[in-house]
Amino acid sequence: MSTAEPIADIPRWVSHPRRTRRASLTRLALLAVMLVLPWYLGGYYIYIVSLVLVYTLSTLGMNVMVGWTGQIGLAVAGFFGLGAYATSILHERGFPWIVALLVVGVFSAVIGFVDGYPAVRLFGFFLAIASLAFGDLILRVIIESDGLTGGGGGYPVQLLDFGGLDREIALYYLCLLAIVGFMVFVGRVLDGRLGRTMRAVNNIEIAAPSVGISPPKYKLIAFMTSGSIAAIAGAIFAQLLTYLNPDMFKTSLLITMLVMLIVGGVGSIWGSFAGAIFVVFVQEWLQAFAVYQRIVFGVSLMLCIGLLPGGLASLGDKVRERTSKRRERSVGAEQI
Amino acid sequence: MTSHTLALRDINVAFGGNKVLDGVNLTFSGGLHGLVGPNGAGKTTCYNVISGYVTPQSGSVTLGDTPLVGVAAHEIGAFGVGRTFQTPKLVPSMTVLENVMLGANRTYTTGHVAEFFGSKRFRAEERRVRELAYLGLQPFGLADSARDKASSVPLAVQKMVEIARAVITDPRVLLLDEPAAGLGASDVDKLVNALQQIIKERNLTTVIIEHDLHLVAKICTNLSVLHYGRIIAEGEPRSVVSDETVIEAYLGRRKG
Repeated sequence: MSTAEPIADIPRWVSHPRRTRRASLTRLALLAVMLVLPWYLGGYYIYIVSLVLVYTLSTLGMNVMVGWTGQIGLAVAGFFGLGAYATSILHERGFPWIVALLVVGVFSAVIGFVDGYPAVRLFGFFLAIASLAFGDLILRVIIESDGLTGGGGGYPVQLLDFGGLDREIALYYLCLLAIVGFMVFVGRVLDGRLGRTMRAVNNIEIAAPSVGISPPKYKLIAFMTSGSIAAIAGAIFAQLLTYLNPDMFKTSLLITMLVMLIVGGVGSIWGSFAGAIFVVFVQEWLQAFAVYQRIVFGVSLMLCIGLLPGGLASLGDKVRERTSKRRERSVGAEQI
Repeated sequence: MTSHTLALRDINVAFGGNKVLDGVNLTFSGGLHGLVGPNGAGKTTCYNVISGYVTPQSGSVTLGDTPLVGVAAHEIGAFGVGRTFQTPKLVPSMTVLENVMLGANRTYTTGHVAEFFGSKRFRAEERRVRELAYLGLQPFGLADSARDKASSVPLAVQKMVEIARAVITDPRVLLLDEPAAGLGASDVDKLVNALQQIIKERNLTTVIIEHDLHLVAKICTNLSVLHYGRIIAEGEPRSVVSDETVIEAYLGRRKG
């Protein structure tokens, strides 16, 4: 090993940061539970959990952009649709599904670049409008190229062949694999140097150049990553839904994604999970009452923005803060 | 001229009809320089010109032999011009250590693809940067705060963390914007001691904007006074502080 000698007065946690044992164990336990879940859940519930995972992935895509670099990019539903259609079409034309997925992932990053290159110069409201329009443009292209996509009439997805495996369970594992892949690659990077740099662009854009960081560059990386992740989520979504229709990817989907992002917690990976669970739960619970769904979403959005800006992900910290304050207070009382 | 010499030549900056810098000439070379002047004199604008945030209408800025005007701000940062801001600019959700690590951004030789695949070289670099950042906190006595969230530490600590971030990668020039403003006396002492140690160790050209004339006169080797966009006095601190025009600029004209 050619590692340099450790400098004497640097504590070990600096040179070798380890995730705390408890956090690692929690992750492993969660993974174990997810792995055995199909044995205990029926087909319908497996589908529901798969949907949660796909929504989580798409929300994470949005989160990279909104949570990490602080850009209100709203093209994510468009990219989700792009991934769903493009992968399915390539798959139908004879590409192995996984190859189609990778091609579309890269292609979406390129489209993200096209979207981002002019857009990184925009801020806040203007960026929101521009990206909303771009997402709509993608959808428009899908509707207009009816030779390929079936246009407004819809498009039956050619199903993935899992051999003799139960389709629902196989799809569930595919979703799980995608999420684990995200956590291993993207999640780690977001916790690391790239994540730090993106947070700097978000929080201290003025100061970032003074340490050699170019904000437009990292905003552009966020556009590309975000587009790519959303498209991959869309590709899996298509397999779950088995039938695509442009209406699925309209603004209502974007709003659902915003609810997942904000209720879950902007800038938090676990928040995206929490948000997806919340949304899917509400959707299934109030399936027969679409109007009530919207009311629940609207109210929860307002409550989160007003009372819990960090979303569900910040709930733990909030509670801990409260209880430690109460403890301090009671300790203080005892001393008197 | 050493590569650590920063020179501004005949800099003119106007925002609309408002002339902010009017033919400013400044040379900073080694040691600690003070840049003082009343509010609105153009001190921070000088920094903004040097670090590429503001393009002057005319004039040149050179670091060593390299012209800086027209170069993008992040490239100037990467080229070795470190700076701080009047209000500390830290990422609140990150730890003190992570904030300091941002300063080492320009020293990575591996790119984000290497990070994505978790390459061995990247991990070694990340470790080096973490250690560098930790050591960078030591002159300020802040090693114990390394794990604290930046949003949870007091203003004095935030200001020192920002300086540590600017310093850890050996910039050639360090521009400090009111580092002592809002700090208590003991914190100012701590800050000054750390700064003097760093400057001595690293042969760093440092410029400091400060309102407290006595403080700068005490610690700087050289003082320049800016007033309404012009340099009105320059030189050894003691003589500058007692200069009639400087007193007039700060306190107004003496009656009678």
